[in-house]
Order: sequence, then structure tokens, then C-alpha cells
Amino acid sequence: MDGSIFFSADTKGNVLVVTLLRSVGSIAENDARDEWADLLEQADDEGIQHVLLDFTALHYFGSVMLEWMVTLWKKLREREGKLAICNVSSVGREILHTAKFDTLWDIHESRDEAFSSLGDAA
Amino acid sequence: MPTILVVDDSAVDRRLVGGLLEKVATFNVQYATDGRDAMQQFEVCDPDLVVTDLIMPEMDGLELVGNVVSQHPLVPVILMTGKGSEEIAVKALRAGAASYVPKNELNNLLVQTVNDVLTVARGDRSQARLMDCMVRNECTFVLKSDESMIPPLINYLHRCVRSVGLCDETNSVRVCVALEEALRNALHHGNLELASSLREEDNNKYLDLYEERRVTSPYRDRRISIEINVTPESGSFVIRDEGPGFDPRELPDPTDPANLEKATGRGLLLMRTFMDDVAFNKQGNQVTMIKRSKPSKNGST
Repeated sequence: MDGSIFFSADTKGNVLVVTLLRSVGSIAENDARDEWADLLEQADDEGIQHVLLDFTALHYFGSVMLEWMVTLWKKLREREGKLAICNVSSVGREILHTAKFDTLWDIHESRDEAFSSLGDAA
Repeated sequence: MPTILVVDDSAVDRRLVGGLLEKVATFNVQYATDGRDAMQQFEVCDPDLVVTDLIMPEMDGLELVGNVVSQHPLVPVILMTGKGSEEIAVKALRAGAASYVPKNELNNLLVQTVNDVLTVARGDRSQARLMDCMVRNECTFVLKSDESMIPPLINYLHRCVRSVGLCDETNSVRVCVALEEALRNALHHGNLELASSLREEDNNKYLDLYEERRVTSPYRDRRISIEINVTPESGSFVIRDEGPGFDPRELPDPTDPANLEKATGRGLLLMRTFMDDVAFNKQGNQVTMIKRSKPSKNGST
């Protein structure tokens, strides 16, 4: 346990599994920003190829979270990694659809399904 | 009789805590072995309060706090902290835990803390019941350039929209997403005159400028007013900042494939998606958003 309050992260094979714990409302929220920066660093680890974002605990999110996801995705894309998303609420799906991000990332019903989509994940 | 859910992966500690609660006061004590088990127990015993260890397998105390706050916001959580877990305890309190008791002080402090927290929680529940009696709400808030006021305002408006009966839970969340985006637009881009393009160029520069302007005149002196009129038929939300305004027509379409990776315009897109009407004044520093009730087939909203 690392004391994170916005995101908890765990590694499974070459996948960094991130559980979103609470809504990030502002880029000016220092704790959230610091935690996200830590996650980006973890995603840079040599053994990590893909990232799985699990939204189980989050009912909704806004443009700040979308922007951060884009940053992460661009980083993964540089090394041909994938971003998989799972357990998104109905409103969350609407938000991703509205922003057209469902055309960029696969949204899955469960964590297992998201893992399967990552193909070579250990 | 209040039901207390004690969460600890150590059977010895569970017995100790349960024994203290049962011996001194009239509580119905239930048990869970970790955070995940605790969330399942919510379905079984509907606890009034949770007392939890911090470090546990599966779902730890901090994650449990996050889940309880989001799924059972009226149920308070008390943490039991061991030596070395103070920093995590502080984070848990900021994440919404009601209080904490050091493990080496359980004998002296646990029952009193549980009673104190239950008293406050009863008040919260009464408030929630009162809010459920609301049939119309017309009010105005004036906020300083203080971002920390936005979440409590959103929480209040969420409760208001649900209580008045304007819309169901899903639609009230949609309303909250739109309101949150509008309020942050008013603060960041309105009163503080921060451009999204700066964020794309250099996020740190954007944040530095944010910190500078929120304590510098004229930016710090500007206010955001929020006029609310919610009835079961419709909700009107007028948000006005004191910045120079902007022309919303100049924003690029964030759904254009060429703009998908840019930071600009997504907040306004969400506002337009989740409200029925969104209109700006000529200056571009006031937005009026309308949400209308949409009766379902069975007559509810």
C-alpha cells in the first residue's frame, strides 16, 4: 500500500493495472497531479508495455481526467503499447463516447476481458 | 441499535475491537476480513458505521474509505491506525474517513469516538431526510476564486436536483458533470484568464500561472456567481464570471480527429451534451444551462 488516494496501481506481467479511486476534478489538485505523475513514471518502467484503467469505483469523470488519459495514451503509443479501459459506468461511457475517445481506446465490461484484449500481456 | 462493521484481517484484532464495542455499549457488531468482504457485508447487514484496519489484503482501508464514500456516503468510517501508518491515515481522512483511533489507544478512545461519530452521522441523516422534502430550490452562490469550494457546491446541487425530483440518479450525475465543467471554465478561463493552449504547450507553466493569478489582483478579486432555480419540471443554472469573456464559436471542435489530442473545448462539449440548452451571453462570461425533466414510460423521471 502506497497511500494513494486517487489511483492505486499494481503490475501484472507487462501491464500496469490502475484502479481509479475518486474523481479528479482539477488539474490544480496537487495530490492528484502528483499521483498521476507517479503513474506516468511507473508506465515508463522497462517491463511495462500496456496500461489497464479500471473505473469500478468511479461513477463519472470530467475533462481533466480525459486530458490525462490522452497524455498516458500518447506515451504508450510511442512504444506500441495499448490502453485498455474497463468497468466504466453508463455515464462514463457517455463521456468517452461524447469525446470520441471510444474510437481511440477499447472499453471492456470486465478486467479479465480488458486483459485478454491486451494480447501479449503476461 | 446501531450496527457497527468491524473490518480487520487479523482475527485476534477483530475479537478485541468487537469485544470493546459489545462490552461497553449497545451495538450490533458485524465483521469483515478485508475491504472487499466489507463491501459485500454492506448488502447483508447495512451498517451504520465502519471501523477498519488500514493495512489488509485484497482491498485495504484506504481503498475501502473511497468505496464507502462513493457508494454509501452517509456511513462514516473510523480508521484504526498502527505505528508508521500516520501518513496513510492523513490521506484516508482527506479521502473522507470520519476519524481515527491509534491501535494502542483502542481501550481508551474507541467507544467514545464511535459514539461521537454516530452522533454526527445521525445529524447528517436528518439533514438528508430534510433535503428529501425539498420541492423547489431557488438560490444564489457567490464564490471567490477558490477551487476547493467547487466539490461541496456540486455535492449540494446533486442532492438538490435529486431531492426536488428533476431527474434520476444517472441524469443528476450528468447535470453535475456539466456544472463542474462550467464552474472550472469560469474560474480558470474566465476569472483567471488562463488559456488552454498554454496547457498544451507547457502544463507546468499553466499551473505556475494559475498559482500566481489566484493571489494577484485583479484576478483574485473576481467572483463567480451561480444562480440556481430547480423545480421538478426544469433546472436553470446561470454561471457568471468576472473575466473579459470569450467567443465560444472560436473554440475548435474537440471531436474532430485532428483535435482529439488537444486540451481545448472538451468541457464545453460535455456541458452541451448533458444539458438540454447551453447559451452564452454576448460577452461570453455568463452561461445559462437548462435541464428539463424527461418523464419515463412509467411516469417517473
